[in-house]
Amino acid sequence: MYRALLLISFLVINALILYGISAVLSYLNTGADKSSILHLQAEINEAYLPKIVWGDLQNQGRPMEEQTLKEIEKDYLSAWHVRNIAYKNNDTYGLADYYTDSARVKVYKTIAINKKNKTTIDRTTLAHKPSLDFYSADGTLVVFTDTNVIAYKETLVNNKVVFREKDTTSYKVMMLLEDGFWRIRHMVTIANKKEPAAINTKISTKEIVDIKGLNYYPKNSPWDMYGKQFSDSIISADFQILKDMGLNTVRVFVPYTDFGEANVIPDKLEKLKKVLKVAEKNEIKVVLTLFDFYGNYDIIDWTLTHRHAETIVTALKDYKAVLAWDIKNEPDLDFESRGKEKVLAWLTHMANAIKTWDTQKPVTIGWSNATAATLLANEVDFVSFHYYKKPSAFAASYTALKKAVPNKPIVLQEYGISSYSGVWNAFTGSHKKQALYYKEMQAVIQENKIPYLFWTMYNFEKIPTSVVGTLPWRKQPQKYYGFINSDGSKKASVEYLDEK
Amino acid sequence: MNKISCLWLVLLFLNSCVPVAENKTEAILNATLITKKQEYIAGQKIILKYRISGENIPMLLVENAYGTSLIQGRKEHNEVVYIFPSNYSNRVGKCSFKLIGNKEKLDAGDIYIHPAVTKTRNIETYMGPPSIIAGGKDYTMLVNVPLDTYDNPLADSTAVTINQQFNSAITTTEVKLKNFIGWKNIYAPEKSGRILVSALCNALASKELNAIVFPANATDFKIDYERVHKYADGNQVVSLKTSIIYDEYKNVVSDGTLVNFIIENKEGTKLYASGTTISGIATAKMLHPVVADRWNVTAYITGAAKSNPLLVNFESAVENYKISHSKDFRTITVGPIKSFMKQLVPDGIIISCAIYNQNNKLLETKTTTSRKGIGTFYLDTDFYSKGAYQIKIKSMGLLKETNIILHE
Repeated sequence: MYRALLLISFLVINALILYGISAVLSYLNTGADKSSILHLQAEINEAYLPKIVWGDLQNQGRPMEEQTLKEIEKDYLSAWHVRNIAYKNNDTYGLADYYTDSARVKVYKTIAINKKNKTTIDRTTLAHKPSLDFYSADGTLVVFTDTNVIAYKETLVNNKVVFREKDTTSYKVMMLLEDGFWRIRHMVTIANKKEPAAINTKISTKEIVDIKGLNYYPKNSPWDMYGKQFSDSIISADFQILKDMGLNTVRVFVPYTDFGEANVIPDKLEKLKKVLKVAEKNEIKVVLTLFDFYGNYDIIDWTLTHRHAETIVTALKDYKAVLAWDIKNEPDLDFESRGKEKVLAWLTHMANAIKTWDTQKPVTIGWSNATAATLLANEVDFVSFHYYKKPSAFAASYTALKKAVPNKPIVLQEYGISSYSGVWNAFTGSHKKQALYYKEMQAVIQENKIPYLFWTMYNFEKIPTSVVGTLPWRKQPQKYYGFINSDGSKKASVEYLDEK
Repeated sequence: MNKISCLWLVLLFLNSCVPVAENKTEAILNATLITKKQEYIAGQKIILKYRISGENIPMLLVENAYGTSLIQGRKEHNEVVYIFPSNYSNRVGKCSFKLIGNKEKLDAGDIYIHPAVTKTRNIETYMGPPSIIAGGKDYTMLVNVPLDTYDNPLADSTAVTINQQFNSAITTTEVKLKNFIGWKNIYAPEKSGRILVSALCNALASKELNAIVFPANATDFKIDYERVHKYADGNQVVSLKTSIIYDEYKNVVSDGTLVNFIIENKEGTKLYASGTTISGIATAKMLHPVVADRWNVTAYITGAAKSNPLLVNFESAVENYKISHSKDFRTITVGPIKSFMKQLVPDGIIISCAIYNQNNKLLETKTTTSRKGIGTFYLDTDFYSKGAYQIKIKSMGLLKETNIILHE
């Protein structure tokens, strides 16, 4: 006994020593990527992509060349970008590249004032509409008017936000070509132009109230719908099953990073288009949830997320299968880590932006619970919330939400229960319990005529770590939310989910 | 202590644990702007006065094209005074302000700042391209940006006077500012030279600028040649020379204009020489041919102009030469080759010797150069066994044949 103890403790101590040494070694091996020695030029424009549309290029000086216009645009946006960063950090880094000697001094002075007052400005511009006034014969001087620049800015004192606003400002700008850079020489604020409001306030939500469906992932590629395993025939077969059950809608996710962030990968977009085509063929409508797995919300990131959404929304808005745009899945869960006001500001602007790109389809946000769902009720066309608590409390939750938001349709966008029975939940779940859950839930849903999307179609064999983390008592139950087993047989719950 | 009083105590304790809410519950501030002035001249002090109810002093957010700042107010009697930093009061354009209290906008407005015209400090001038071509089609553009003492561009419609001088003529024009700039295209005169330009705005003068007017494209020209004699001696040099080349406005073309001389000889072979102009004249040199020839010369300035065709004849310098043999016929001596004045040809004249066998088959062509007018060939015993051969000698365009019989 004593000897065994000695032996085991010896082994344990050795293991710990080895672990310690390897931890030190691996720590020493981390650091800058070796390629950073090369000082490869980073593409600054990729970090700042506000919408920019050039208007009239006619001018009395010289006809504008397409190539030069691109260079001017790139340097002008970079000028905004470095200035936004400069005011955010009260640091003049990078300004010299995009402002001439005399112009940069003006920015430096303001930064000095703000530094003294401990004021920082976090700002991004979202839309530029420049039109050319003058381009000189030798191609080194340009004057243009940037009309109604839409900007969002937060003013902070001692790193605390004291004011946030969206504003519209117009500028007259003169830029000079100096050693390869177009630099701002003069910038003067001018009066804005009046523009008709572009947002359609009468978006039809007629189809929303009829939503009957589920949150969809294919059986073998949950959370990786557009990867190598993508097959529109499998998805089509699944949609056929749903149609036969009398369901009419699926909720499908569009992961932000997987889709290439600001530069949407065409291949992924093609796959999504195929999903929409097979959905249309099977008479299934699709609620598209954008920005899955996105969680930055930082103002400096806004232009990138806007370009991502713009590409997807403009590419898909004419597909009949698209029922609605769901901006983000459960953004309220990011309130704690990212700040509630920042997340809400991002959502508000994204909702507005999506409505300018697609004036017909309704917009919603997939809140994680009924309480959060009252937020931004004025910005969305219908309210979506998720419910994973006890079915007995559901009716009260729903009624409270309905009372808070009486004049907009409310969709129960996610709900469900796992049929998992195992060590991690002490063998408490079962197919029968799942069926009972749906029996109870569907009764309330039918009584109140609530549009619903339950979670989910299949049991999944593998759950990516990014979804619920690595803890087995979280991961295991996540595999058994479906009404169809991984072998294809249907569970008892199907009785209450079949609408026919 | 009974149960109820115990409960009260607990409740009291819990109550004291609740964190005290921040003192933000103050009644909504009521702010009235007293300052009515909206238009200022750059450099003037901008002071906004508010009448504000409540104890807290809200901050003023000011913004112009270059940035945004927060200004602290100062309480004076029952007014709150905000002084704009010079970085805002000195910049032209719209300067917007917002009064901020408890994260809310209490008041907002715009101030318009106009340039300090009386303090025009500087005229920035940009002129380009720096060189243009004579003739009135090409132009250079002068762009003026007059600035006030705070580096602000002046208002639209401000007059700018542009003076330009060329040779003895000085012309003055007036342009109006628009979009910060007053600009003028300065067209090239017909004469080449230098245009001097300056600008005036509000009695302030710019620096002197200049543009160089280069002659326009060359027009057709003539060519001629110079040489020491007419013989094809392969030794002297013939100079090909253009006339003075002018553009269409009688300006001598720019020095360094490239002229290509293309020479076609009797056999149709093209020879090529080039020269660049100095004071309008380009010269190229060619070595005399070694054979009597007739050259057809034309000169070109690519894409612009060409010359008249020029004929140059060369006569043969050598009429005849002798071929002699050694006793065994193995050493063949050519020459002495004599030129047009019976002088020996210069060293280095090429002499070739083709050797044929009895079946008229070419065995070898030997080449040598003349030295003191003479060239020799040796037919080695190792290669040429005894027998009859035919020899063809060629030099200075003259071909001579002879039959030899070689012995062992």
